[in-house]
Amino acid sequence: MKKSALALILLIIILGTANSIVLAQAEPDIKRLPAAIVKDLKGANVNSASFGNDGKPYVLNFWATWCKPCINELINISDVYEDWVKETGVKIIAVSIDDSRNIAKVAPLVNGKGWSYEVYIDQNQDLKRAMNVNNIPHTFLFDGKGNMVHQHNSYTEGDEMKLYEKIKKLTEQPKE
Amino acid sequence: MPIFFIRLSGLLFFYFLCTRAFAQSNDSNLLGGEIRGNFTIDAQYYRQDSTIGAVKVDERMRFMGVGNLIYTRGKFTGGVRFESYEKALLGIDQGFNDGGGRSGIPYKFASYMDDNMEITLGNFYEQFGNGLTLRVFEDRNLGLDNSLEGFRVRYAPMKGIYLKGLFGKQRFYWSLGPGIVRGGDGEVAVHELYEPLAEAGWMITTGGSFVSRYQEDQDPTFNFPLNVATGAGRLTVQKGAAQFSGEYAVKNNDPSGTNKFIYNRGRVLLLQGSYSVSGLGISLGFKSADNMEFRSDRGAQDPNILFINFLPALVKQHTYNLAASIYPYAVQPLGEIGGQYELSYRIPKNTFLGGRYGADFVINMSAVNTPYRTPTDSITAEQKKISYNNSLFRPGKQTIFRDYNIEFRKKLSSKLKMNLMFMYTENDTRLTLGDARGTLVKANIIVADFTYKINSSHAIRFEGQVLETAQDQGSWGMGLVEYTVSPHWFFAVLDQYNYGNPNESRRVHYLLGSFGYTKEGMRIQFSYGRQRQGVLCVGGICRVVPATNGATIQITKTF
Amino acid sequence: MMRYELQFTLLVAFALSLIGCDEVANPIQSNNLNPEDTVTIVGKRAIVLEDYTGQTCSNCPDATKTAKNLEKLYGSRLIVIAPHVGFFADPNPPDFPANFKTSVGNEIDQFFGINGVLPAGTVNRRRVNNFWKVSYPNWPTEVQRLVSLESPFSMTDTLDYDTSTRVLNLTVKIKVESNPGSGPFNLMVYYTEDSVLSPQLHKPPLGTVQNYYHSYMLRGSLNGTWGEALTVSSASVGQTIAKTFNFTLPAFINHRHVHFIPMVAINTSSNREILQARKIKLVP
Repeated sequence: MKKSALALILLIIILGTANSIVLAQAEPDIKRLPAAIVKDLKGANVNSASFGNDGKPYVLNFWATWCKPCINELINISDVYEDWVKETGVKIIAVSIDDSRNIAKVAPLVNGKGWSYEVYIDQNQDLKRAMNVNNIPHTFLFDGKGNMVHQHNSYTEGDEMKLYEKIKKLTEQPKE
Repeated sequence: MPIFFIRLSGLLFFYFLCTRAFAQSNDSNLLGGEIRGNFTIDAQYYRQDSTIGAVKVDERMRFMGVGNLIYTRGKFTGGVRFESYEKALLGIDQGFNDGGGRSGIPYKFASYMDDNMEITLGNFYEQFGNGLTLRVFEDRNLGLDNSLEGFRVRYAPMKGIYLKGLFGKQRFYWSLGPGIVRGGDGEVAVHELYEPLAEAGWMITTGGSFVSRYQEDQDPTFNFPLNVATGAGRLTVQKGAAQFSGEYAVKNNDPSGTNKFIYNRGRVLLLQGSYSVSGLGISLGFKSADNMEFRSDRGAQDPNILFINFLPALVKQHTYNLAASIYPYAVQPLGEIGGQYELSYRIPKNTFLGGRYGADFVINMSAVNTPYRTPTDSITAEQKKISYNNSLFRPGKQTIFRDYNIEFRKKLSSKLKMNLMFMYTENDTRLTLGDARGTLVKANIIVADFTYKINSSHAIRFEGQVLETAQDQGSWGMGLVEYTVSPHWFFAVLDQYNYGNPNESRRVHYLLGSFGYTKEGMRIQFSYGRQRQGVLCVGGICRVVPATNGATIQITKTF
Repeated sequence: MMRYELQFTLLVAFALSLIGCDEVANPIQSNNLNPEDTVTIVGKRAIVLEDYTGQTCSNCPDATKTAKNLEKLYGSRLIVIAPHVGFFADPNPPDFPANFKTSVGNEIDQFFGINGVLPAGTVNRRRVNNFWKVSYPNWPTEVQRLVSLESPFSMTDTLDYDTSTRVLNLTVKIKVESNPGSGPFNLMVYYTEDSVLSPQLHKPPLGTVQNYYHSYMLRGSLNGTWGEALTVSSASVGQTIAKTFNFTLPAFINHRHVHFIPMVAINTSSNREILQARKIKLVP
């Protein structure tokens, strides 16, 4: 029984990976950002459907004040964000899913770290649900036309460089 | 045994349905709309291990799966969620098993959204203000889902005015709770209505909400109120770097199983302020709650079931293992008074403490006590069932929780980062963990966390933690080594050692190895070893996770 | 336009204010229920309240108190059985060395979805809101709901017991009073022991109470967890079925505190509702 149970686990892993390869081949994925109401740091309601970056790519990142990998990711991107903007015009939209427990800490954290991202609060997690985010951090990359072209769940050191490569590819494409 | 495989193949079938079918439909965009979704599959294989108290699990392996499908076309959105508990993993509310394991679709909705109106039929999640009167939400990690099934309208008659109305019944495992929930919320952004205010840099938002529950009364001993209501008012003022917000809610008599059928009113006051400029952030919070548990069944007992409202925990949400999951804080909606203070400061570059890259430190302090209460006279207590009087501003003598901590974060070189934390905490486990044999635990916690970046993809992280206490299970130590390869892999080995347990036979190691693979929206994580009994908290709501020994696998995917 | 919006808003606010709330001035009901009277009501069903409990479950004494209050209110119409189940009933030395778990208890704990999450109960094993499990604050409501229900069965018994050999002979006679509908129906006979002295954990500040008398403790069944089949149909109205049990009471049980509880229940995999029951004291 033990062996068969472990064999089942392996089976699931293999099937899972195999499926993801199938999915990867099915790209290009042409999903757009769904509409949901979030709040900006000034308390105004904003419809996510209005997110965009004047024809340039943008990144949608889900995070929370209590999520260490999320904060690491945003700090690490922050260190190189100026260069990113200069070279590609990319914009980062950071959506916090904090609830009323930590919501008062969002603005102090963003200001305290000196982040220049566009920050929203998705307190009821409407946008998180609409984007089907399981765990945070979760990053989505949208091209200049608003099509979702890449996503990544979780953060490990160095992921930001892989993301930047994808962004650069997007901005280089028109020249080809 | 055959049943086990039938259930498993059912799960796998759903898994394929989700991935394969919709992988193909991505190109064609079914019916001209868009389909998105996600799923999570959790499986755990259990071994009995009496030294850590891991019980025998008859099924040996348990499976849980959750999958969402959302279809969007123009202004229309519809969705379903399929859930399968064959059976719920230990630590997840076993009520989802409905006896011998259960699968089904407990969540489905259709909504229409245009420029100023959104109508939702079916299941939905909602929050009014800070959630003091209503917050129905889900947290899959906790196995918590309090969604309402009914009808909701969100309406913005003009810019700056936002209205919400809803009614329905709450999810209760695989059926609905007995109480009918009705409510409304209005919010006015004054600065959007009166532009000179905004031009002068002021942001003022005010709002109010009202929620009422109807539940029939058949009880032979009490006259229960059929309709119980809560109402709240709130205000947020922001100018420049400073922000203040406050909300006050009251509830009329709501005798329930958890408050021992008293007919007292309930009240809660929540005040929060913050000030932040680049490099400096300060936040302050105060909360006082009395008899404010509000559920859609007055008899509800299960810890995370049928809650209509939500009281935020005004204490730091720790993520380091020993600080987060041995003695966490749990909100006491029946009565608590507490406050929190947090200061974060960035030490500039090229200073003594800041070094070449600068450094951050955060000081956080929080304290929560029981409220001061004076008992009422015996006639009021026995005939009116109003058992005490209290003030929202007078704390009692009993400590529920203390947390004084300082965190220091510094980049030592271009490759090496360091994070240190020291924390002193007091926690009355009789209240926070409901442990009748508990006590006021006093503990010191020290954490050191180093990350070394080997190259642009490879990094290694070391974490050492000590929790030192003379009470309860005594002291703990923890060590972690984690190796990551961006963007796909992580490997980790974790050991926790209860070296200070007063019972020498329980001074055992909890060794756990794990690895994970991430590709875009998919993540697979596998771990094997011992997992300590602990408390998992997300956003201030906790659940107890029993000790286990065995293998765990989780697959999540967003598509 | 503006006026219309305002009117709409005011209308919604007005509708909400109508819902309002109820302030109760007199919380306690003045009850005229006389337990002695209700015993004799013919054709009504007895109500079996199963109070799942455990010695380290600190909230369980509150639940048992609720059961006792209900017993005062409903007299012999209400029959309480307390199965000790799950994690909270496990022996936990040194304070709680006893093991009061039974195989019957374990089986019904699993079947009725209690899963050792205590305190919890079932009322006549009837589904309430789709669930068998009823939280203890809701027990009075659910008991009251069933009090007026008729039963298609009535029960009588004869019992012989030899106190020296501890051998008993119990005959249960079930009369079909009206059409019982489609079964199948089973008869099961459980037995309980009162006044079992053993420690019980209470909520703070009480903690461990050494001198605690456990009531209604489920000790076992004479014929298995789900009992034995009764051959009953619509044609059986007016008939009486008799079942006889011979049993030797285990030595560790104090026979002065023992009750036998025969119960007639529907017996399908999704419905095991108890339709009639009786409580018989072993030693009068």
